[in-house]
Amino acid sequence: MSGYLTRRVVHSIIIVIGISMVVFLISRLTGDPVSLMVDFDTPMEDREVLRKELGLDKPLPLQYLIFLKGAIKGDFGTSIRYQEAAINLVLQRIPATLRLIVFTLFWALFFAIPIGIISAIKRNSFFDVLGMTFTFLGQSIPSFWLGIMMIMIIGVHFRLLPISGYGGGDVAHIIMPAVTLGAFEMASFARITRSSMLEVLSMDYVQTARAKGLTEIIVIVKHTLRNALIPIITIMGLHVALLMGGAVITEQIFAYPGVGWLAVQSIYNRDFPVIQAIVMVVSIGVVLTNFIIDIIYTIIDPRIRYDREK
Amino acid sequence: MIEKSNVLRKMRGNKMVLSSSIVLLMTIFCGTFAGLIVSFDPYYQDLENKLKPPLWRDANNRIHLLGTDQLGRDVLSRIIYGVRVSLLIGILAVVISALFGVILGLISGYYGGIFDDIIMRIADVQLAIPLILLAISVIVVLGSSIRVLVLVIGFTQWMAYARMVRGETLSLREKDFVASARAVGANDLRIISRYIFPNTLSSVMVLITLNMATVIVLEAGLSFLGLGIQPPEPSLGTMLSESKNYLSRAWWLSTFPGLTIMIIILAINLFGDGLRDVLDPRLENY
Repeated sequence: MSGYLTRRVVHSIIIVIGISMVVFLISRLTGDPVSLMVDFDTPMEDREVLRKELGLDKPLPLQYLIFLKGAIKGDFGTSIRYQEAAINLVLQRIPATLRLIVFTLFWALFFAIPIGIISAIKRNSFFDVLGMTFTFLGQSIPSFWLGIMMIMIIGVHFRLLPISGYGGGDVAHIIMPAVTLGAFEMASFARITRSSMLEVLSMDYVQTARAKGLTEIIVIVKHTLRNALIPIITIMGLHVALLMGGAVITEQIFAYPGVGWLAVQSIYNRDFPVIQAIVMVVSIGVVLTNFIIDIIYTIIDPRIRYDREK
Repeated sequence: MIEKSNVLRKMRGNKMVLSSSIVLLMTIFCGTFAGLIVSFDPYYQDLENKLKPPLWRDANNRIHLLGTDQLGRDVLSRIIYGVRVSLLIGILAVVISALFGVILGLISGYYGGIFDDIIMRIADVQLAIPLILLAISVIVVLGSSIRVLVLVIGFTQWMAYARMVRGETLSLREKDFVASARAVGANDLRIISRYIFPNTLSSVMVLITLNMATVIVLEAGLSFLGLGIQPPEPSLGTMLSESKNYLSRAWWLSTFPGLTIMIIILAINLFGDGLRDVLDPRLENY
Protein backbone atom coordinates (compact mmCIF):
# COMPACT_ATOMS: atom_id res chain seq x y z
CA MET A 1 0.00 0.00 0.00
CA SER A 2 2.72 2.49 0.94
CA GLY A 3 4.58 1.94 -2.34
CA TYR A 4 1.38 2.57 -4.22
CA LEU A 5 0.66 5.67 -2.13
CA THR A 6 4.11 7.12 -2.80
CA ARG A 7 3.69 6.59 -6.52
CA ARG A 8 0.33 8.32 -6.47
CA VAL A 9 1.79 11.28 -4.56
CA VAL A 10 4.69 11.61 -7.02
CA HIS A 11 2.29 11.34 -9.96
CA SER A 12 0.06 14.08 -8.53
CA ILE A 13 3.02 16.39 -7.96
CA ILE A 14 4.17 15.89 -11.57
CA ILE A 15 0.69 16.77 -12.80
CA VAL A 16 0.59 19.92 -10.66
CA ILE A 17 3.97 21.01 -12.04
CA GLY A 18 2.63 20.35 -15.53
CA ILE A 19 -0.39 22.53 -14.79
CA SER A 20 1.85 25.37 -13.60
CA MET A 21 3.81 25.11 -16.87
CA VAL A 22 0.61 25.35 -18.92
CA VAL A 23 -0.59 28.36 -16.93
CA PHE A 24 2.81 30.02 -17.32
CA LEU A 25 3.04 29.33 -21.05
CA ILE A 26 -0.44 30.73 -21.69
CA SER A 27 0.61 34.04 -20.16
CA ARG A 28 3.56 34.12 -22.56
CA LEU A 29 1.47 33.42 -25.69
CA THR A 30 1.68 37.07 -26.69
CA GLY A 31 4.85 39.10 -26.83
CA ASP A 32 4.01 41.34 -23.89
CA PRO A 33 2.77 39.57 -20.75
CA VAL A 34 2.98 42.86 -18.82
CA SER A 35 -0.03 44.20 -20.69
CA LEU A 36 -2.04 41.31 -19.20
CA MET A 37 -1.09 42.24 -15.68
CA VAL A 38 -1.69 45.96 -15.53
CA ASP A 39 -4.42 48.40 -16.37
CA PHE A 40 -4.17 49.68 -19.93
CA ASP A 41 -3.49 53.26 -18.82
CA THR A 42 -0.52 52.29 -16.64
CA PRO A 43 2.47 54.58 -17.40
CA MET A 44 5.53 53.17 -19.14
CA GLU A 45 7.78 53.54 -16.06
CA ASP A 46 5.48 51.32 -13.97
CA ARG A 47 5.40 48.75 -16.74
CA GLU A 48 9.21 48.76 -16.80
CA VAL A 49 9.30 48.14 -13.05
CA LEU A 50 6.94 45.18 -13.40
CA ARG A 51 8.93 43.89 -16.36
CA LYS A 52 12.05 43.86 -14.16
CA GLU A 53 10.12 42.28 -11.32
CA LEU A 54 8.84 39.47 -13.56
CA GLY A 55 12.31 39.05 -14.99
CA LEU A 56 11.09 39.34 -18.56
CA ASP A 57 14.62 40.17 -19.71
CA LYS A 58 15.74 36.73 -18.50
CA PRO A 59 15.49 33.45 -20.48
CA LEU A 60 12.13 31.65 -20.51
CA PRO A 61 13.03 28.73 -18.20
CA LEU A 62 14.29 31.20 -15.60
CA GLN A 63 11.10 33.21 -15.94
CA TYR A 64 9.16 30.02 -15.31
CA LEU A 65 11.10 29.36 -12.10
CA ILE A 66 10.33 32.88 -10.90
CA PHE A 67 6.66 32.25 -11.68
CA LEU A 68 6.77 28.89 -9.89
CA LYS A 69 8.39 30.43 -6.82
CA GLY A 70 5.57 32.95 -6.63
CA ALA A 71 2.92 30.30 -7.30
CA ILE A 72 4.15 28.09 -4.45
CA LYS A 73 3.72 31.04 -2.10
CA GLY A 74 0.28 31.64 -3.62
CA ASP A 75 1.45 34.84 -5.27
CA PHE A 76 -0.14 35.33 -8.69
CA GLY A 77 0.02 39.09 -8.61
CA THR A 78 -2.51 41.75 -7.77
CA SER A 79 -5.99 41.85 -9.24
CA ILE A 80 -6.24 44.70 -11.72
CA ARG A 81 -9.89 45.29 -10.90
CA TYR A 82 -9.92 44.90 -7.11
CA GLN A 83 -6.34 45.89 -6.23
CA GLU A 84 -6.11 42.89 -3.95
CA ALA A 85 -4.00 39.72 -4.00
CA ALA A 86 -5.54 37.53 -6.75
CA ILE A 87 -5.27 34.41 -4.65
CA ASN A 88 -7.36 35.91 -1.84
CA LEU A 89 -10.18 36.77 -4.20
CA VAL A 90 -10.23 33.19 -5.45
CA LEU A 91 -10.09 31.61 -2.00
CA GLN A 92 -13.00 33.77 -0.83
CA ARG A 93 -15.18 32.40 -3.61
CA ILE A 94 -14.33 28.75 -3.15
CA PRO A 95 -16.87 27.86 -0.43
CA ALA A 96 -19.81 28.97 -2.60
CA THR A 97 -18.63 26.84 -5.53
CA LEU A 98 -17.93 23.83 -3.32
CA ARG A 99 -21.42 24.15 -1.90
CA LEU A 100 -22.90 24.18 -5.39
CA ILE A 101 -20.90 21.12 -6.41
CA VAL A 102 -21.76 19.15 -3.29
CA PHE A 103 -25.47 19.91 -3.75
CA THR A 104 -25.24 18.95 -7.40
CA LEU A 105 -23.51 15.64 -6.75
CA PHE A 106 -25.94 14.87 -3.96
CA TRP A 107 -29.11 15.25 -5.99
CA ALA A 108 -27.59 13.69 -9.10
CA LEU A 109 -26.55 10.54 -7.23
CA PHE A 110 -29.76 10.50 -5.21
CA PHE A 111 -31.79 10.07 -8.39
CA ALA A 112 -29.28 8.39 -10.66
CA ILE A 113 -28.46 5.34 -8.57
CA PRO A 114 -32.06 4.18 -7.99
CA ILE A 115 -32.96 4.87 -11.63
CA GLY A 116 -29.93 2.91 -12.84
CA ILE A 117 -30.58 -0.01 -10.50
CA ILE A 118 -34.29 -0.32 -11.26
CA SER A 119 -33.68 0.03 -15.01
CA ALA A 120 -31.16 -2.79 -14.85
CA ILE A 121 -33.32 -5.11 -12.75
CA LYS A 122 -36.42 -4.46 -14.83
CA ARG A 123 -34.55 -4.46 -18.11
CA ASN A 124 -36.65 -3.54 -21.16
CA SER A 125 -39.63 -2.71 -18.97
CA PHE A 126 -41.59 0.51 -19.40
CA PHE A 127 -39.59 2.07 -16.55
CA ASP A 128 -36.30 1.15 -18.21
CA VAL A 129 -37.29 2.63 -21.57
CA LEU A 130 -38.64 5.78 -19.92
CA GLY A 131 -35.59 6.13 -17.68
CA MET A 132 -33.14 5.65 -20.51
CA THR A 133 -34.98 8.06 -22.80
CA PHE A 134 -34.99 10.61 -20.02
CA THR A 135 -31.26 10.20 -19.34
CA PHE A 136 -30.50 10.40 -23.06
CA LEU A 137 -32.28 13.74 -23.14
CA GLY A 138 -30.38 14.77 -20.01
CA GLN A 139 -27.08 14.07 -21.74
CA SER A 140 -28.07 16.07 -24.81
CA ILE A 141 -29.54 19.22 -23.28
CA PRO A 142 -27.04 22.09 -23.13
CA SER A 143 -26.81 23.19 -19.50
CA PHE A 144 -26.98 26.90 -20.28
CA TRP A 145 -30.24 26.41 -22.16
CA LEU A 146 -31.73 24.31 -19.38
CA GLY A 147 -30.79 27.06 -16.92
CA ILE A 148 -32.31 29.83 -19.00
CA MET A 149 -35.52 27.89 -19.58
CA MET A 150 -35.84 27.21 -15.86
CA ILE A 151 -35.30 30.89 -15.08
CA MET A 152 -37.95 31.81 -17.64
CA ILE A 153 -40.58 29.25 -16.61
CA ILE A 154 -40.00 28.58 -12.91
CA GLY A 155 -38.45 31.91 -11.94
CA VAL A 156 -40.00 34.61 -14.11
CA HIS A 157 -43.35 33.12 -15.08
CA PHE A 158 -44.43 31.21 -11.97
CA ARG A 159 -42.15 33.08 -9.54
CA LEU A 160 -41.45 29.89 -7.59
CA LEU A 161 -37.71 30.22 -7.07
CA PRO A 162 -35.21 33.10 -6.94
CA ILE A 163 -33.40 33.49 -10.26
CA SER A 164 -30.04 34.84 -9.16
CA GLY A 165 -27.57 35.44 -6.37
CA TYR A 166 -26.49 33.54 -3.29
CA GLY A 167 -29.24 34.65 -0.92
CA GLY A 168 -26.96 34.32 2.11
CA GLY A 169 -26.82 30.55 1.56
CA ASP A 170 -30.59 30.10 1.33
CA VAL A 171 -31.32 26.66 -0.14
CA ALA A 172 -33.90 28.07 -2.57
CA HIS A 173 -31.10 29.94 -4.36
CA ILE A 174 -29.13 26.81 -5.04
CA ILE A 175 -31.89 24.58 -6.44
CA MET A 176 -31.95 25.82 -10.02
CA PRO A 177 -28.15 26.16 -10.34
CA ALA A 178 -27.70 22.64 -8.96
CA VAL A 179 -30.28 21.19 -11.36
CA THR A 180 -28.63 23.01 -14.28
CA LEU A 181 -25.17 21.80 -13.37
CA GLY A 182 -26.27 18.28 -12.50
CA ALA A 183 -28.60 17.27 -15.34
CA PHE A 184 -25.77 15.89 -17.45
CA GLU A 185 -24.09 14.23 -14.46
CA MET A 186 -27.32 12.65 -13.30
CA ALA A 187 -27.95 11.20 -16.73
CA SER A 188 -24.39 9.85 -17.02
CA PHE A 189 -24.41 8.35 -13.53
CA ALA A 190 -27.77 6.64 -14.16
CA ARG A 191 -26.56 5.10 -17.43
CA ILE A 192 -23.32 3.92 -15.86
CA THR A 193 -25.10 2.42 -12.87
CA ARG A 194 -27.44 0.57 -15.21
CA SER A 195 -24.73 -0.89 -17.42
CA SER A 196 -22.45 -1.94 -14.58
CA MET A 197 -25.42 -3.38 -12.70
CA LEU A 198 -26.33 -5.45 -15.77
CA GLU A 199 -22.75 -6.67 -15.99
CA VAL A 200 -22.59 -7.71 -12.34
CA LEU A 201 -26.03 -9.34 -12.47
CA SER A 202 -24.76 -11.72 -15.15
CA MET A 203 -21.81 -12.87 -13.02
CA ASP A 204 -21.59 -16.43 -11.75
CA TYR A 205 -21.55 -15.53 -8.07
CA VAL A 206 -24.85 -13.71 -8.45
CA GLN A 207 -26.34 -16.78 -10.09
CA THR A 208 -24.99 -18.84 -7.20
CA ALA A 209 -26.57 -16.51 -4.68
CA ARG A 210 -29.87 -16.87 -6.48
CA ALA A 211 -29.51 -20.64 -6.69
CA LYS A 212 -28.96 -20.76 -2.93
CA GLY A 213 -32.52 -19.51 -2.68
CA LEU A 214 -31.75 -16.00 -1.44
CA THR A 215 -34.45 -13.46 -2.10
CA GLU A 216 -33.88 -11.08 -4.97
CA ILE A 217 -33.57 -8.11 -2.62
CA ILE A 218 -30.77 -9.72 -0.64
CA VAL A 219 -29.01 -10.78 -3.83
CA ILE A 220 -29.08 -7.22 -5.07
CA VAL A 221 -28.24 -5.38 -1.87
CA LYS A 222 -25.59 -7.76 -0.55
CA HIS A 223 -24.07 -9.25 -3.66
CA THR A 224 -24.28 -6.80 -6.51
CA LEU A 225 -24.57 -3.20 -5.34
CA ARG A 226 -21.08 -2.82 -3.97
CA ASN A 227 -19.43 -4.06 -7.13
CA ALA A 228 -21.85 -2.29 -9.40
CA LEU A 229 -21.15 1.08 -7.81
CA ILE A 230 -17.37 0.98 -8.30
CA PRO A 231 -17.57 2.43 -11.84
CA ILE A 232 -19.51 5.38 -10.40
CA ILE A 233 -16.49 6.23 -8.27
CA THR A 234 -14.17 5.95 -11.28
CA ILE A 235 -16.33 8.22 -13.34
CA MET A 236 -16.57 10.74 -10.50
CA GLY A 237 -12.84 11.31 -10.80
CA LEU A 238 -13.19 12.07 -14.49
CA HIS A 239 -16.19 14.28 -13.89
CA VAL A 240 -14.64 16.57 -11.28
CA ALA A 241 -13.00 18.69 -13.99
CA LEU A 242 -16.22 18.63 -16.02
CA LEU A 243 -18.22 19.82 -13.02
CA MET A 244 -15.80 22.66 -12.37
CA GLY A 245 -16.04 23.74 -16.00
CA GLY A 246 -19.82 23.46 -15.90
CA ALA A 247 -19.87 25.56 -12.74
CA VAL A 248 -18.36 28.46 -14.70
CA ILE A 249 -21.34 28.56 -17.05
CA THR A 250 -23.93 27.79 -14.38
CA GLU A 251 -22.64 30.47 -12.01
CA GLN A 252 -22.71 32.98 -14.84
CA ILE A 253 -26.35 32.17 -15.69
CA PHE A 254 -27.52 32.55 -12.10
CA ALA A 255 -25.07 35.28 -11.04
CA TYR A 256 -24.01 32.82 -8.35
CA PRO A 257 -20.97 34.30 -6.59
CA GLY A 258 -18.52 31.42 -6.88
CA VAL A 259 -15.15 30.92 -8.54
CA GLY A 260 -16.75 30.47 -11.96
CA TRP A 261 -18.54 33.77 -11.81
CA LEU A 262 -15.32 35.44 -10.70
CA ALA A 263 -13.62 33.87 -13.73
CA VAL A 264 -16.19 35.29 -16.13
CA GLN A 265 -16.11 38.71 -14.45
CA SER A 266 -12.34 38.65 -14.78
CA ILE A 267 -12.63 38.08 -18.52
CA TYR A 268 -14.67 41.23 -18.88
CA ASN A 269 -12.22 43.15 -16.68
CA ARG A 270 -9.27 41.53 -18.43
CA ASP A 271 -8.05 40.64 -14.97
CA PHE A 272 -5.44 38.08 -15.93
CA PRO A 273 -3.77 37.55 -12.51
CA VAL A 274 -7.14 36.43 -11.13
CA ILE A 275 -7.74 34.04 -14.05
CA GLN A 276 -4.27 32.58 -13.56
CA ALA A 277 -4.94 32.03 -9.88
CA ILE A 278 -8.31 30.44 -10.64
CA VAL A 279 -6.90 27.98 -13.17
CA MET A 280 -4.13 26.97 -10.75
CA VAL A 281 -6.32 26.62 -7.67
CA VAL A 282 -9.15 24.79 -9.44
CA SER A 283 -6.85 22.39 -11.29
CA ILE A 284 -4.96 21.57 -8.10
CA GLY A 285 -8.36 20.92 -6.56
CA VAL A 286 -9.14 18.49 -9.37
CA VAL A 287 -5.82 16.66 -8.89
CA LEU A 288 -6.36 16.48 -5.13
CA THR A 289 -9.89 15.12 -5.54
CA ASN A 290 -8.67 12.49 -7.95
CA PHE A 291 -5.96 11.52 -5.49
CA ILE A 292 -8.52 11.10 -2.72
CA ILE A 293 -10.84 9.13 -5.01
CA ASP A 294 -7.96 6.84 -5.88
CA ILE A 295 -7.30 6.13 -2.23
CA ILE A 296 -10.98 5.47 -1.50
CA TYR A 297 -11.02 3.23 -4.53
CA THR A 298 -8.21 1.00 -3.30
CA ILE A 299 -9.91 0.69 0.07
CA ILE A 300 -13.19 -0.43 -1.50
CA ASP A 301 -11.61 -2.72 -4.04
CA PRO A 302 -8.22 -4.16 -3.01
CA ARG A 303 -7.87 -5.97 -6.36
CA ILE A 304 -7.04 -2.67 -8.03
CA ARG A 305 -4.14 -1.99 -5.71
CA TYR A 306 -2.53 -5.34 -6.43
CA ASP A 307 -3.09 -4.98 -10.14
CA ARG A 308 -1.37 -1.65 -10.22
CA GLU A 309 1.52 -2.73 -8.05
CA LYS A 310 2.63 -5.36 -10.50
CA MET B 1 -12.81 -5.74 -39.98
CA ILE B 2 -16.45 -5.50 -40.80
CA GLU B 3 -17.60 -5.48 -44.39
CA LYS B 4 -18.76 -2.06 -45.54
CA SER B 5 -22.04 -3.27 -47.04
CA ASN B 6 -22.77 -5.10 -43.82
CA VAL B 7 -22.32 -1.89 -41.84
CA LEU B 8 -24.66 0.01 -44.11
CA ARG B 9 -27.31 -2.69 -43.87
CA LYS B 10 -27.11 -2.78 -40.10
CA MET B 11 -27.28 1.02 -39.90
CA ARG B 12 -30.33 1.11 -42.10
CA GLY B 13 -32.03 -1.47 -39.93
CA ASN B 14 -31.68 0.73 -36.86
CA LYS B 15 -34.59 3.18 -36.57
CA MET B 16 -32.74 5.52 -34.23
CA VAL B 17 -29.81 5.78 -36.60
CA LEU B 18 -32.10 6.27 -39.56
CA SER B 19 -34.09 9.11 -38.02
CA SER B 20 -31.03 10.79 -36.53
CA SER B 21 -29.20 10.66 -39.85
CA ILE B 22 -32.14 12.35 -41.54
CA VAL B 23 -31.99 15.15 -38.94
CA LEU B 24 -28.22 15.42 -39.37
CA LEU B 25 -28.42 15.53 -43.16
CA MET B 26 -31.01 18.28 -42.91
CA THR B 27 -28.79 20.19 -40.48
CA ILE B 28 -25.76 19.88 -42.73
CA PHE B 29 -27.87 20.91 -45.73
CA CYS B 30 -29.18 23.99 -43.90
CA GLY B 31 -25.69 24.91 -42.77
CA THR B 32 -24.12 24.47 -46.19
CA PHE B 33 -26.80 26.22 -48.19
CA ALA B 34 -27.79 28.78 -45.54
CA GLY B 35 -27.65 31.57 -48.09
CA LEU B 36 -30.16 29.88 -50.38
CA ILE B 37 -32.60 28.85 -47.66
CA VAL B 38 -33.08 31.95 -45.57
CA SER B 39 -35.36 34.64 -46.90
CA PHE B 40 -33.96 37.36 -44.60
CA ASP B 41 -30.55 38.88 -44.19
CA PRO B 42 -29.51 37.68 -40.70
CA TYR B 43 -27.82 41.04 -40.06
CA TYR B 44 -30.67 43.24 -41.30
CA GLN B 45 -32.15 45.30 -38.46
CA ASP B 46 -35.75 46.42 -38.63
CA LEU B 47 -36.35 48.42 -35.46
CA GLU B 48 -40.02 48.99 -36.27
CA ASN B 49 -40.57 45.25 -36.15
CA LYS B 50 -38.51 44.34 -33.11
CA LEU B 51 -39.48 41.56 -30.66
CA LYS B 52 -42.26 40.20 -32.88
CA PRO B 53 -43.57 36.83 -31.62
CA PRO B 54 -43.54 33.78 -33.92
CA LEU B 55 -45.97 33.59 -36.81
CA TRP B 56 -48.63 31.57 -35.04
CA ARG B 57 -48.73 33.82 -31.97
CA ASP B 58 -49.08 37.17 -33.69
CA ALA B 59 -51.72 38.06 -36.24
CA ASN B 60 -49.69 41.05 -37.44
CA ASN B 61 -46.59 39.02 -38.13
CA ARG B 62 -46.99 37.33 -41.50
CA ILE B 63 -43.39 36.84 -42.50
CA HIS B 64 -41.08 36.03 -39.57
CA LEU B 65 -41.71 32.34 -38.85
CA LEU B 66 -39.91 32.31 -35.47
CA GLY B 67 -40.35 36.01 -34.74
CA THR B 68 -37.76 38.78 -34.51
CA ASP B 69 -35.19 39.76 -31.90
CA GLN B 70 -34.52 42.97 -29.96
CA LEU B 71 -33.14 44.62 -33.10
CA GLY B 72 -35.86 43.36 -35.41
CA ARG B 73 -33.67 40.69 -37.00
CA ASP B 74 -35.30 37.48 -38.20
CA VAL B 75 -34.73 34.75 -35.60
CA LEU B 76 -34.97 31.80 -37.99
CA SER B 77 -32.38 33.25 -40.37
CA ARG B 78 -30.02 33.91 -37.48
CA ILE B 79 -30.49 30.36 -36.20
CA ILE B 80 -29.69 28.88 -39.60
CA TYR B 81 -26.55 31.02 -39.90
CA GLY B 82 -25.69 30.12 -36.31
CA VAL B 83 -25.92 26.42 -37.16
CA ARG B 84 -23.58 27.02 -40.08
CA VAL B 85 -20.95 28.60 -37.80
CA SER B 86 -21.38 25.85 -35.18
CA LEU B 87 -20.90 23.11 -37.77
CA LEU B 88 -17.89 24.84 -39.30
CA ILE B 89 -16.14 25.27 -35.96
CA GLY B 90 -17.21 21.81 -34.85
CA ILE B 91 -15.83 20.06 -37.91
CA LEU B 92 -12.53 21.98 -37.95
CA ALA B 93 -11.96 21.48 -34.23
CA VAL B 94 -12.76 17.78 -34.36
CA VAL B 95 -10.44 17.26 -37.33
CA ILE B 96 -7.59 18.95 -35.45
CA SER B 97 -8.14 17.02 -32.27
CA ALA B 98 -8.60 13.68 -34.04
CA LEU B 99 -5.47 14.16 -36.15
CA PHE B 100 -3.39 15.26 -33.20
CA GLY B 101 -4.80 12.64 -30.84
CA VAL B 102 -4.52 9.71 -33.24
CA ILE B 103 -0.90 10.49 -34.12
CA LEU B 104 0.11 10.88 -30.47
CA GLY B 105 -1.85 7.74 -29.56
CA LEU B 106 -0.08 5.71 -32.26
CA ILE B 107 3.36 6.92 -31.15
CA SER B 108 2.55 6.38 -27.50
CA GLY B 109 1.19 2.88 -28.02
CA TYR B 110 3.68 1.68 -30.60
CA TYR B 111 6.93 2.96 -29.15
CA GLY B 112 5.98 3.00 -25.47
CA GLY B 113 8.72 3.97 -23.03
CA ILE B 114 9.59 7.61 -22.64
CA PHE B 115 7.28 8.76 -25.49
CA ASP B 116 4.39 7.02 -23.85
CA ASP B 117 5.23 8.50 -20.44
CA ILE B 118 5.51 12.06 -21.73
CA ILE B 119 2.39 11.97 -23.92
CA MET B 120 0.23 10.37 -21.27
CA ARG B 121 1.42 12.82 -18.58
CA ILE B 122 0.58 15.75 -20.85
CA ALA B 123 -2.86 14.22 -21.33
CA ASP B 124 -3.23 13.89 -17.54
CA VAL B 125 -2.27 17.54 -17.08
CA GLN B 126 -4.81 18.70 -19.65
CA LEU B 127 -7.52 16.50 -18.20
CA ALA B 128 -6.98 18.13 -14.80
CA ILE B 129 -7.54 21.66 -16.11
CA PRO B 130 -11.25 22.26 -16.72
CA LEU B 131 -11.32 23.08 -20.40
CA ILE B 132 -13.64 26.05 -20.06
CA LEU B 133 -11.08 27.64 -17.75
CA LEU B 134 -8.23 26.78 -20.10
CA ALA B 135 -10.18 28.25 -22.99
CA ILE B 136 -10.96 31.38 -20.96
CA SER B 137 -7.32 32.03 -20.18
CA VAL B 138 -6.14 31.46 -23.75
CA ILE B 139 -8.90 33.61 -25.22
CA VAL B 140 -8.25 36.42 -22.75
CA VAL B 141 -4.62 36.45 -23.88
CA LEU B 142 -5.14 36.04 -27.62
CA GLY B 143 -8.55 37.65 -28.08
CA SER B 144 -11.49 35.81 -29.56
CA SER B 145 -11.82 34.93 -33.21
CA ILE B 146 -13.02 31.85 -35.05
CA ARG B 147 -9.40 30.79 -35.56
CA VAL B 148 -8.54 31.01 -31.85
CA LEU B 149 -11.79 29.24 -30.98
CA VAL B 150 -11.09 26.36 -33.36
CA LEU B 151 -7.52 25.96 -32.10
CA VAL B 152 -8.44 26.17 -28.43
CA ILE B 153 -11.23 23.62 -28.77
CA GLY B 154 -9.13 21.43 -31.06
CA PHE B 155 -6.22 21.26 -28.66
CA THR B 156 -8.35 20.48 -25.63
CA GLN B 157 -10.04 17.43 -27.13
CA TRP B 158 -7.16 15.25 -28.33
CA MET B 159 -6.73 13.29 -25.11
CA ALA B 160 -9.66 10.93 -25.64
CA TYR B 161 -8.38 9.99 -29.11
CA ALA B 162 -4.83 9.51 -27.87
CA ARG B 163 -5.86 7.29 -24.98
CA MET B 164 -8.14 5.15 -27.08
CA VAL B 165 -5.74 4.72 -30.01
CA ARG B 166 -2.89 4.03 -27.59
CA GLY B 167 -4.90 1.24 -25.97
CA GLU B 168 -5.77 -0.36 -29.30
CA THR B 169 -2.22 0.00 -30.60
CA LEU B 170 -0.85 -1.76 -27.53
CA SER B 171 -2.87 -4.86 -28.33
CA LEU B 172 -2.54 -4.66 -32.12
CA ARG B 173 1.26 -4.43 -31.80
CA GLU B 174 1.35 -7.97 -30.42
CA LYS B 175 -0.80 -9.47 -33.19
CA ASP B 176 0.60 -12.05 -35.61
CA PHE B 177 0.03 -9.97 -38.72
CA VAL B 178 2.21 -7.21 -37.31
CA ALA B 179 4.93 -9.70 -36.47
CA SER B 180 4.82 -11.16 -39.98
CA ALA B 181 4.90 -7.71 -41.54
CA ARG B 182 8.00 -6.99 -39.52
CA ALA B 183 9.48 -10.33 -40.52
CA VAL B 184 9.23 -9.45 -44.21
CA GLY B 185 11.05 -6.20 -43.48
CA ALA B 186 8.37 -3.55 -43.19
CA ASN B 187 9.59 -0.47 -41.31
CA ASP B 188 7.80 1.17 -38.38
CA LEU B 189 6.09 3.82 -40.46
CA ARG B 190 4.70 1.20 -42.81
CA ILE B 191 3.56 -1.06 -40.00
CA ILE B 192 1.80 1.79 -38.26
CA SER B 193 0.16 3.23 -41.35
CA ARG B 194 -0.73 -0.03 -43.10
CA TYR B 195 -1.45 -2.46 -40.31
CA ILE B 196 -2.22 -0.62 -37.09
CA PHE B 197 -3.92 2.63 -38.01
CA PRO B 198 -6.59 1.07 -40.30
CA ASN B 199 -7.64 -1.22 -37.46
CA THR B 200 -8.24 1.69 -35.08
CA LEU B 201 -10.31 3.55 -37.65
CA SER B 202 -13.75 2.26 -36.67
CA SER B 203 -13.30 3.32 -33.03
CA VAL B 204 -11.91 6.66 -34.15
CA MET B 205 -14.98 7.24 -36.33
CA VAL B 206 -17.30 6.60 -33.39
CA LEU B 207 -15.30 8.92 -31.17
CA ILE B 208 -15.29 11.63 -33.83
CA THR B 209 -19.07 11.50 -34.02
CA LEU B 210 -19.62 11.66 -30.27
CA ASN B 211 -16.89 14.28 -29.86
CA MET B 212 -18.66 16.47 -32.39
CA ALA B 213 -21.53 16.85 -29.90
CA THR B 214 -19.16 17.88 -27.11
CA VAL B 215 -17.40 20.38 -29.33
CA ILE B 216 -20.61 22.03 -30.54
CA VAL B 217 -21.85 22.44 -26.97
CA LEU B 218 -18.45 23.78 -25.95
CA GLU B 219 -18.47 26.38 -28.73
CA ALA B 220 -22.01 27.43 -27.85
CA GLY B 221 -21.00 27.63 -24.19
CA LEU B 222 -17.98 29.81 -24.91
CA SER B 223 -20.06 32.06 -27.16
CA PHE B 224 -22.65 32.21 -24.39
CA LEU B 225 -19.94 33.52 -22.06
CA GLY B 226 -19.01 36.12 -24.65
CA LEU B 227 -15.72 34.41 -25.55
CA GLY B 228 -16.67 32.85 -28.84
CA ILE B 229 -18.36 34.33 -31.83
CA GLN B 230 -18.75 38.10 -31.37
CA PRO B 231 -21.93 40.04 -32.18
CA PRO B 232 -23.35 40.88 -34.64
CA GLU B 233 -22.12 37.56 -36.09
CA PRO B 234 -25.02 35.09 -35.62
CA SER B 235 -24.25 32.27 -33.19
CA LEU B 236 -26.56 30.05 -31.17
CA GLY B 237 -24.65 30.64 -27.93
CA THR B 238 -24.57 34.42 -28.36
CA MET B 239 -28.28 34.46 -29.19
CA LEU B 240 -28.99 32.63 -25.95
CA SER B 241 -26.92 34.99 -23.85
CA GLU B 242 -28.61 38.03 -25.43
CA SER B 243 -32.03 36.48 -24.85
CA LYS B 244 -31.42 36.54 -21.09
CA ASN B 245 -32.47 40.19 -20.99
CA TYR B 246 -35.84 39.50 -22.61
CA LEU B 247 -37.02 36.44 -20.71
CA SER B 248 -40.25 37.99 -19.48
CA ARG B 249 -41.14 39.55 -22.84
CA ALA B 250 -39.81 37.34 -25.61
CA TRP B 251 -39.78 33.62 -24.82
CA TRP B 252 -39.03 32.71 -28.44
CA LEU B 253 -35.58 34.33 -28.30
CA SER B 254 -34.32 31.83 -25.74
CA THR B 255 -36.46 28.84 -26.70
CA PHE B 256 -35.61 28.28 -30.36
CA PRO B 257 -31.80 28.67 -30.46
CA GLY B 258 -31.49 26.32 -27.47
CA LEU B 259 -33.94 23.83 -28.95
CA THR B 260 -31.90 23.85 -32.15
CA ILE B 261 -28.68 22.99 -30.29
CA MET B 262 -30.45 20.26 -28.36
CA ILE B 263 -31.93 18.65 -31.48
CA ILE B 264 -28.54 18.64 -33.18
CA ILE B 265 -26.81 17.18 -30.12
CA LEU B 266 -29.53 14.57 -29.68
CA ALA B 267 -29.23 13.52 -33.32
CA ILE B 268 -25.43 13.31 -33.11
CA ASN B 269 -25.58 11.27 -29.91
CA LEU B 270 -28.17 8.87 -31.32
CA PHE B 271 -26.19 8.48 -34.52
CA GLY B 272 -22.96 7.96 -32.59
CA ASP B 273 -24.57 5.37 -30.34
CA GLY B 274 -25.92 3.50 -33.35
CA LEU B 275 -22.56 3.68 -35.08
CA ARG B 276 -20.90 2.29 -31.98
CA ASP B 277 -23.34 -0.60 -31.72
CA VAL B 278 -22.63 -1.52 -35.32
CA LEU B 279 -18.90 -0.88 -35.52
CA ASP B 280 -17.49 -1.41 -32.11
CA PRO B 281 -19.65 -2.55 -29.21
CA ARG B 282 -16.70 -2.49 -26.78
CA LEU B 283 -16.36 1.26 -26.92
CA GLU B 284 -19.04 1.96 -24.30
CA ASN B 285 -16.69 3.63 -21.84
CA TYR B 286 -15.23 6.38 -23.97
